[in-house]
Amino acid sequence: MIDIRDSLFAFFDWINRRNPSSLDMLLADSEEEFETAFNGFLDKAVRHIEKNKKNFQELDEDGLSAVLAGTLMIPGWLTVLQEANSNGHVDLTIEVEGHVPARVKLGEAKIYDGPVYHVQGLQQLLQRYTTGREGRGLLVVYVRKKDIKGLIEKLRTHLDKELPLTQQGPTQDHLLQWSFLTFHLHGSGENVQVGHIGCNLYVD
Amino acid sequence: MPPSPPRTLLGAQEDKPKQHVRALPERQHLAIRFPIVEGYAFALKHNLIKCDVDSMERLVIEPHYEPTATFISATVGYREGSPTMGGLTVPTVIQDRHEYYAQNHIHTIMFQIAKTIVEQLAEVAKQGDDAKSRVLRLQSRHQLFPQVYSIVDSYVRNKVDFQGEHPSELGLELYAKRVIERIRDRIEPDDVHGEPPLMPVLNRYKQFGTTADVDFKTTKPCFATVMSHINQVVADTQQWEQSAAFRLEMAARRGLVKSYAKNDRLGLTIPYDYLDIEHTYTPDYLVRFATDVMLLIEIKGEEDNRDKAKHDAARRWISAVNNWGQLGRWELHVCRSPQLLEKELLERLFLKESQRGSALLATRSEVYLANQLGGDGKWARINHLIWDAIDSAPAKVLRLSQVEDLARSSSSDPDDVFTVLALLSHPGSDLLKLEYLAADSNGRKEVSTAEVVQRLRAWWKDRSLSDEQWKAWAGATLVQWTPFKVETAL
Repeated sequence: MIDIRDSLFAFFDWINRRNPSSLDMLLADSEEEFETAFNGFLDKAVRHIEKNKKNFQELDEDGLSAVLAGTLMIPGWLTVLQEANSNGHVDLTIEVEGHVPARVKLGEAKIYDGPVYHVQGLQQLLQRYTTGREGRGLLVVYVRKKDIKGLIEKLRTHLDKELPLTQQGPTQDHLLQWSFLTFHLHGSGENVQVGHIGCNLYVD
Repeated sequence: MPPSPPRTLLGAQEDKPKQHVRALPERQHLAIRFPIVEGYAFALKHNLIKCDVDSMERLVIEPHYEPTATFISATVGYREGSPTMGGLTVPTVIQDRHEYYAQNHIHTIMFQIAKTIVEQLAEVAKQGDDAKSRVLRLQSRHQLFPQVYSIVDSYVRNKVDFQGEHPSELGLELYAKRVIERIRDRIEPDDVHGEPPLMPVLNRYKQFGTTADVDFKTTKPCFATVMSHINQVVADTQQWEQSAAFRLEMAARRGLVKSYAKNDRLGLTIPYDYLDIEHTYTPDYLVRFATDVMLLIEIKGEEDNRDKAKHDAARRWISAVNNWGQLGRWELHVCRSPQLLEKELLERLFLKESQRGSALLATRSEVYLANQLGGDGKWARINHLIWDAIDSAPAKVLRLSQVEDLARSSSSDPDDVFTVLALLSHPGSDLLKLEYLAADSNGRKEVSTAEVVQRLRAWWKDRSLSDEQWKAWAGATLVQWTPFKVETAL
């Protein structure tokens, strides 16, 4: 007999308690199912960061990326790898193991500094789409300024007007609060989806 | 009318774009320092010497370059076509070295080699003209000769590949000179028995070099670095530099390498003699290894005798610099193919690992975590506690129930410990392995991830497994992390 605290039962119990969307995400059969579960999973992670935002006031983009990575990771099942890019920013790669083949999501994390800076982050993310087969991308926007709602709306207005980086049509609503979707034409002819996820780090 | 192209001087080449290769101040933590060695202090007090023959390069007798016999025939009239067509019509005479072999036994040759080495060593030791120095010089030859002869004998027995040729071939000047230079350059004072160790003589005006001094422009193609103090690596060849630098970047991301620098205008050169002429050797890369040992890396495909002389000179340099000890420990790594460099560094680490427990894996994982999660001290604390826990466990594993204790001890959250475990057990990090084990009649057998997924799906999604059934199976399956094994890594 083994100590139940060392068992696989305890392991998945911890995974489930930590984020109830985890198992749905790990066992998703289709891309749509995966995205739905991932949204729930990500929502929990973003809320956790927002709840503890006072602890993260001193962190820069790389530090905040590490916090996000730490909230998402599940040993043996989901790993967030951060690779320092020679351009000075950090690329996030979310690898969901257990699937054959493993699901991979590409991501960037940026501290909000206006629409132009946001588009630069979007460009860095889209540059990593090499084949067009990659799933929905993730651009996490940490907003340290007041009025995240107004700022995200302003950002959407800018993107809808400029349609940067071969953006196909206006932005679309996302299930998560202060978040939206854009679609970009890839060289393969595919429309690459990017989820822009707002995270409120404003402290009074 | 279209504008005419700008006028250029006749024959002037088009300006190529210049790349600025320089050290980046923001990467000061990746800087590498090294000593500028001009020579070696070889001072014997008791005439006791040593030589690590095992680590020396081999010498190969090469009859295909230095023929051992020739066939001579008289030139008679005109011959049409190749001599092989229709056979040789004029009798030939074979000229070989049998007479020389008969007169020069291998022991005579070894004696001569030892004598020459002793003379050269005595010349090096020729210091001072007082009575004591003169006595020492007189004593030195008969004290040194037996030791040198023994070294020559060991080298010839273990390191010379005669390729089936007569041993007296070694007496040819071409081979004898190489043996003399190699052995002479690797002989050191026997510090174990009271001699002062071989020490480097540093450049009196500039004792140290550093990557911070690199600042030049080049028209050669360059590519950017991440884990080097110097912003770009210059591609002097079509492939090798790129491949080696890429592999070093990859190794750095895996925590095998802390930083690296291409030895390009850095000034790290190693003096050596080859066939009586003085040369300097420039190793390809300087690497700060995961263990903080400094590696001189030489990328070399086909090695010739001159390369072997360079490597022996590098080993002498390393021995002297390590004896001096002020800039850490240095080692030489000769890589035959840049594609294999990362694998070889991993092997090198695991070789050390098997000698020193998991301490080196812990060091490597700390670098890996810092690359992934940044410099927050809590990640290093968790890392140390994980490896301490594994080291102190009789089975050398980490169990799930230990996570909360680790979190408490490191003043962090259990989620942070899981984050570290997720990264360390990620395939490709080669640090920890997450295992699922089920009990069977022979003890425990490993359960594959595919089987876990299948059972999990049956319980969570398909509902074909009841909660009780899931608890019974999953509750009897052990979760543990084990240190990565080298045979799996390779």
